[in-house]
Amino acid sequence: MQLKKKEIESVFKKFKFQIKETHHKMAYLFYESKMILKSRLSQGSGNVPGNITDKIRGQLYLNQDQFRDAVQCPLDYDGYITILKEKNIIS
Amino acid sequence: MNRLSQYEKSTAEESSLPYYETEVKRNLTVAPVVSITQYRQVIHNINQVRTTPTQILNLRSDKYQLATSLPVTISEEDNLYVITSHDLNLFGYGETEDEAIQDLCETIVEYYEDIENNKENLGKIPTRDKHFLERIIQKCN
Repeated sequence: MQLKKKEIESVFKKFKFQIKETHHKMAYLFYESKMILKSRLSQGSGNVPGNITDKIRGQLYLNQDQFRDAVQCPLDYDGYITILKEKNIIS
Repeated sequence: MNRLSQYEKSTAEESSLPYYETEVKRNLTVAPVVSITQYRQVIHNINQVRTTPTQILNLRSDKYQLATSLPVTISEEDNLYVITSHDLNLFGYGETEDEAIQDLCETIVEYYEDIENNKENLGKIPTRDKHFLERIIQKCN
């Protein structure tokens, strides 16, 4: 699944991942003040190669259908938190 | 008619039949049939994605070094090298193998420092990663 960098960034934004302002590679999901997940920001601009998109999807702990929903909008922040709770990533 | 002529006659008759039916008629063992296009695509895919297990010994950092080797895999697809630490669920990538390794090393150092800065407030996965990182990373003297 090849995506544009902006599409992946919009998923991070929707799921409230924190990204530092300065030159950094990582984004983090905090929930109730705890660091829950990390993910990797993509380099450059334009399209993100399919294999990199898959790696980022894995870091978000989403299957392909869920990730597609995240990109195409049906999956919102609350839905994502529910998924993480179901997977026992958030207790 | 000698045996060779018989074979040629039978081959000519069978030439209009699909490969599978011909082989069945000859009572020969039938191997799975794929078209040459499918075969070439499989070979192309094998050549496109090659994943090689290896290890990182050098974290390429002035501040930190590895106390032990870190198992990783390197894959190459469409001239993009991706190196993955499955233990940490982290990856780096670049147009060369060296760029990908450098990228992963920087990512690991950044993650390690961010975990250290939040060590009182870690969820399950960062806590697990912290324990692993503490075993493999040490500060340079």
